[in-house]
Amino acid sequence: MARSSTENMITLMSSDGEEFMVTEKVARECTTIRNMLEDDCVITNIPLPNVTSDILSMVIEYCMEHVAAAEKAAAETAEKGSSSAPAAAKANKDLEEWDKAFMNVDVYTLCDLILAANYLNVSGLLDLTIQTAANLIKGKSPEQIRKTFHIQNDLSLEEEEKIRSQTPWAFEKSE
Amino acid sequence: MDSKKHPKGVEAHDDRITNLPDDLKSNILERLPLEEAVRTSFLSRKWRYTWASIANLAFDVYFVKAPESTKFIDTVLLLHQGPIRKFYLSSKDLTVVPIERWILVLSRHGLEEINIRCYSMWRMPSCFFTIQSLKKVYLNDCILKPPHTFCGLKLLQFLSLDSCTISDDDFEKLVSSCPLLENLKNVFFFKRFLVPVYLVLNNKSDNYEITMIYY
Repeated sequence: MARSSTENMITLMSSDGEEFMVTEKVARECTTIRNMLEDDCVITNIPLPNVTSDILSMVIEYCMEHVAAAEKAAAETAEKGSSSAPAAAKANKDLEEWDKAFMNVDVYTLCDLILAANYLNVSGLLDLTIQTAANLIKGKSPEQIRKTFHIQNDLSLEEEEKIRSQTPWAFEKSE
Repeated sequence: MDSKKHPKGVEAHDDRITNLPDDLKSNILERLPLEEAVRTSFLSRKWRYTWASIANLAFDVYFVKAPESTKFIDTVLLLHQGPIRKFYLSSKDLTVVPIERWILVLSRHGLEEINIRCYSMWRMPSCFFTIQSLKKVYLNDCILKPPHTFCGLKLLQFLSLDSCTISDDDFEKLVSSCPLLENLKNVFFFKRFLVPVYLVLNNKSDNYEITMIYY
């Protein structure tokens, strides 16, 4: 992707001190950063003490892909005068496929991405990660969910019995 | 990092989903069928009431037969904490719907959207007409009679009434006192009415753009 030399670059600094240079357009995908830039337009260096470098690089990768897809769609619309529906549908499908592949991560990374997407307020990424977490829970028994997410069962037998009697319909299908 | 080991070799810091903020966990659980969200109370102590703060309650009670379905809804509303923004209920076999007490609970929790599909005639309790947070309403087979004290629903933007019963006067009162419904194409009627609402509509066609759909 060609970048104009006049485009503003922003440095994002992760909690472990790594610096990431991104275009302002990519940085603006994070609503939290967009708000900072709107409050103070000369800011060029933004520390993000809640996000590690591993996770920040993934968030940036997501934002870059989505900015590129939006730019490509806008360029095609400008070139042809109007957007062609089949091409737009294919581009959407490609981006969905990319998102799906991007979500092929372990549950630790997934939870860290949820936190980062929430903190940086990247609505598309938050929706994607939350839905992925929901899909990992869907249709599973409590024991399978515990295993997936490494949740320690600290309920006593009495407590388990009480939950079961309070909401019996919730357990009919699973067991 | 603290790597205190739990019995089965599971480390406390490994369990990141439990440690997510409550609103994010609720957001995850809102995307599950309600009975599955409730089932997460069985995961651990911290999960016991996490589901109880989800703001969108969708009761697609096909999976339990009455009277269990009534108990199911009663329990969920009893254990629920915080706002209930959306309430969806679809049921074919709830013949005697204890809807009055559910609407009363909902009227106190900042309800914005209500969608009730019951296939037996039921009467809307008067507390419904006081829910000022309502934005969207979808009802069917419902008898609507706003109380004398009704002074409009200021935020109501969308109204869909399917096979509902309402008198001409009450209908006019309802629509004219909800400012956001005027001049909007957002009032829908479907199927039969026991009173000829279309007469009112014809008289008022300059004021309200109302879509009539029959099938």
